[in-house]
Amino acid sequence: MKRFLFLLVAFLSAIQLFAQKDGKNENKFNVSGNFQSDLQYYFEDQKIGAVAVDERLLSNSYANFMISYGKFSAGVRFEGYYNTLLGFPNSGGKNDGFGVPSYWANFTNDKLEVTVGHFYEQFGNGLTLRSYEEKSLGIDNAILGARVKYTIVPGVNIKGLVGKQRYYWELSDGILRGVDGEIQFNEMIKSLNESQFRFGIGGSFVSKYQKEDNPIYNLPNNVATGAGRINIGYSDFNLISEYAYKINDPSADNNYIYRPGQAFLINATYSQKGLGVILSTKWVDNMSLRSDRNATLSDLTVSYLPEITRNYTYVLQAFYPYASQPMGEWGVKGEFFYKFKKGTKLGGKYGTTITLNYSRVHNIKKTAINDSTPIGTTGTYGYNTSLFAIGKELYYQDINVEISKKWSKKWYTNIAYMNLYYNYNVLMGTAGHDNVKANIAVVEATYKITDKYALKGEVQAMFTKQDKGNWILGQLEFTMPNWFFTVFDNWNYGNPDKSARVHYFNVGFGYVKGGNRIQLTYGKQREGVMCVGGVCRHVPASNGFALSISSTF
Amino acid sequence: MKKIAFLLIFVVAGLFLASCDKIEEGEYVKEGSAIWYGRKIVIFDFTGHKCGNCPKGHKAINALEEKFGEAVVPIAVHCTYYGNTNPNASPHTTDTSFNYDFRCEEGIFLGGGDADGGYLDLDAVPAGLINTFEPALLNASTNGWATDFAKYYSTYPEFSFDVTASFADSTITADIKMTSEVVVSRKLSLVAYVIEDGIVGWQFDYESNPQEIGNYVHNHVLRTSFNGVFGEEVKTDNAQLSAGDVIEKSYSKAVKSDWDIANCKVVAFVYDTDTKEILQAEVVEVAE
Amino acid sequence: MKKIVFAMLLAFVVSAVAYSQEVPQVQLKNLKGKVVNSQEIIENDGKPVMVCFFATWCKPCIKELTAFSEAYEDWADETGVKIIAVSIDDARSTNSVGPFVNARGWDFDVYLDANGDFKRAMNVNNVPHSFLLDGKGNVAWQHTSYLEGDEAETFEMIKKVAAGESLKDEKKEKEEE
Repeated sequence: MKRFLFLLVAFLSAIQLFAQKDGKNENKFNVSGNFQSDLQYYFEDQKIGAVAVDERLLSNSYANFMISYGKFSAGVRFEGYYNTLLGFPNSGGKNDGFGVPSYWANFTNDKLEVTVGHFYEQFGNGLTLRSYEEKSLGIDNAILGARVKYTIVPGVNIKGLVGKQRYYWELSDGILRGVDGEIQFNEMIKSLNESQFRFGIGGSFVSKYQKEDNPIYNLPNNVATGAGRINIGYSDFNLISEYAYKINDPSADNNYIYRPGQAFLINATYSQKGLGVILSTKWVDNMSLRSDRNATLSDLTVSYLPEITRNYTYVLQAFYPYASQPMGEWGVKGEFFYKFKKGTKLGGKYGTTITLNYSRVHNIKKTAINDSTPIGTTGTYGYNTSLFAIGKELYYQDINVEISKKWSKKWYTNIAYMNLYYNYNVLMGTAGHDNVKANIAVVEATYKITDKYALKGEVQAMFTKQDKGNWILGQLEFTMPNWFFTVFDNWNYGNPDKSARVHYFNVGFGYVKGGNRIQLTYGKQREGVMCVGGVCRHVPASNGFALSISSTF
Repeated sequence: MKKIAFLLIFVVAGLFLASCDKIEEGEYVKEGSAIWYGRKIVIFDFTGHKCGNCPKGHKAINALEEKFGEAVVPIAVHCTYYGNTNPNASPHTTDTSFNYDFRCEEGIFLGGGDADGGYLDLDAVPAGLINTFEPALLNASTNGWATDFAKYYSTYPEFSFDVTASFADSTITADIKMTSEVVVSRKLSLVAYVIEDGIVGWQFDYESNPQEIGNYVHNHVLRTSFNGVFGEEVKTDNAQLSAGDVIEKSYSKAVKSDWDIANCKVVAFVYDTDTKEILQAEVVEVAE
Repeated sequence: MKKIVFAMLLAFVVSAVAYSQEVPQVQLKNLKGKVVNSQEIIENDGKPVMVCFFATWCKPCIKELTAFSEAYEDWADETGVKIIAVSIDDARSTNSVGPFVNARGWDFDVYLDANGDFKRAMNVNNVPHSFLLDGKGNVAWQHTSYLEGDEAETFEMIKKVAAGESLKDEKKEKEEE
């Protein structure tokens, strides 16, 4: 920490000297940053299962400061968790405290970019490497080390990195080394610049070093994963595909089996003005890579396996979220967007947008390596499977229709209907639970009272015979310049257990000005799951006040 | 310049390609093992009969026992919400299943009860503590237990144990003699537990079909402690103990009606009161 | 010791720097997969540029960009403003952004920031978040969240910036009055 501050001051001083020598007005120092603080005061509420919090008040905060001068920039982040909000990864208090979890310095010109310190990176679709932060889930697996990006000729880009991943306030045991290269032929070859036909290829390679340390099994010190990708486009048509392969990587995720992993993505899209079509498929087998073979939950992920399903945001549509299954899944998705033009019968005066989407995810077919070894036995090859061998078990299916329409200058509506199948046991990691079949309807209407004052109403309903039964949610939101006021009630009116038919009532308001936002809410939150990027976090039930302040400066 | 750049890429890529270790089939299991000086290692396996991943922990212990035999001293601590008996079951269960309570007062104190609490405040099992009482060293990855185990396996034991356990008049008596092998200047605590093997009962197991197993064999189940969860402080200062010095203790405890004495064992271990590291352990059968 | 270093740092920052944010150089991709530089895409012949961070799953973002889209022609005619939409969709939906935007008929230049590099460089906490850049590429005004009717204020700001008025000075003058 001390050493870092010294370095930072030295770096800044060097820049300042350089600046004075430079003497031009073009380059000037820029300081910017942001800040966010979330505080929650907790009440015990046995009815919804909200436990008493010893500290009563918990908070997560962070602030970034960045300074740049021409081609140089440097930044530092402060984070404070006093103590970590419920539901965020904490591994028994590892996350609590205050400190400087990241700092970096960067040089960028037209061809070259060099970063030392903490950085985030993604190769291709992230199948081999994605270091990222997802504040809402408490995920930050930044890499501390060095990274170089270089444009050899236009259209030919390479990147290389070495480092260790952040693990709460510490670093991972394992070391990551990675390279990625991409060639876009239309840019590289001048005569193809304006061609209707587009073509590009890319590849990445990541190797993790972690000393083998198991007294029973021979483990690899170095685990490598590589991926190739391609993008082809013609006019309004685009196709991208990526295939990744990982060599033997016995880990906590796969229960120490030795078979290699693989993942395959294909995504085809067609679009023109007013129309969009997306078709995708995905195959994943034993493809999780972490920088520590014994890491679990959301810790130290290196590979990123994007969900193929849509990311829903209406509360009841997001009630049962899908999470990628790195040990094996096959999925398809189709998405269709269409806008009825203004002035047509269905389009009305302002046009009508319709969205259709469907996705289905299955397990993959695994066969035992021999009669006496159950699938996935520790210290064996694990099992056999072949690419696109689809299993019988359905993990997830959704069908969703959404229609948004502006009726007049005053009225706007959005309605949605969704049909869902959710394999509760697999996706929640439980057993003996009924799988959930649900129908969900949403109606949202906005009425603009004047140009600047508006009222939004929302009704959502979920009908299911499984799990906690039916839910209904009603919300009203009033907005005016800089201010918003919201109230909603989420009522579990159909819970088979009559005593558990709880109202989750919430009321809140907020103020927004420029890059600043402050929001205060009071209410009850149900126990639930939030998922982003194949990583889910369990959000415990809570009852209390929440204050959120954020600012960009 | 461009040529150099390309060349550089190939060189780097080549180096990278070389940095992966493929392990051939048939070579997965390590042959031979490191040298052992007689240090026995305690593995606290925090577990629950309604926890579908917990059999993974039991398998991890079996694998260690298979390879390292008497060096492994497992203690299965049934605790948390997953240790609940049937009426509180979350997974739906048939009426007679999961009705035996594997938990004991000491286990709940150590791992936590229904609504968390306890020394470790666990909310998920399996979890392991290998040869220590230090909560920060809790390992939630059962595959990693062997790694933790290996850290202690080849180190020299500071003590040797001579333990006898006897049973009479519904009471188990443990006579523990602890001899220092080297000069020791630590604060020491001595712990004596009763564990029981071969209890047949229910267990959830995600990897079995059906997942509810009615005749699962539960081993090393923690039954009680003779002298409290964290034992008795037998040396309260940092004064030196010479090699050959002896500490002797004798404890007795009444048994409960559902224990099968023939399957009961006494586990004794000594740990550094400050660092919480367990220095030596012993397990003996109860002689009737 | 730590305190001294901190104090030095603080003094240094305060003394050496006048607060103003400009757009850092970060790599993004356009919808055709081409790698572009953040400083190239904000070129607009000295006229204002709006940079709007959004995501396809973010309802307020869609409302905001729909409102901007309806007004874009008028705004561009009057002020020469260029609107850039930067999607922070990650690999789950990066490849859906093109059809999503095209179907809605948005005429903005759209760029992909799949791993949030540009978002971080611009210190964005949450989407939607928009920056109004003056002709020199400095941030003249910014706005987070979307409340119905916000586009009116946005257009006011664009007009002021296009006319070369300094938003900050005006604020100061008001305070002085």
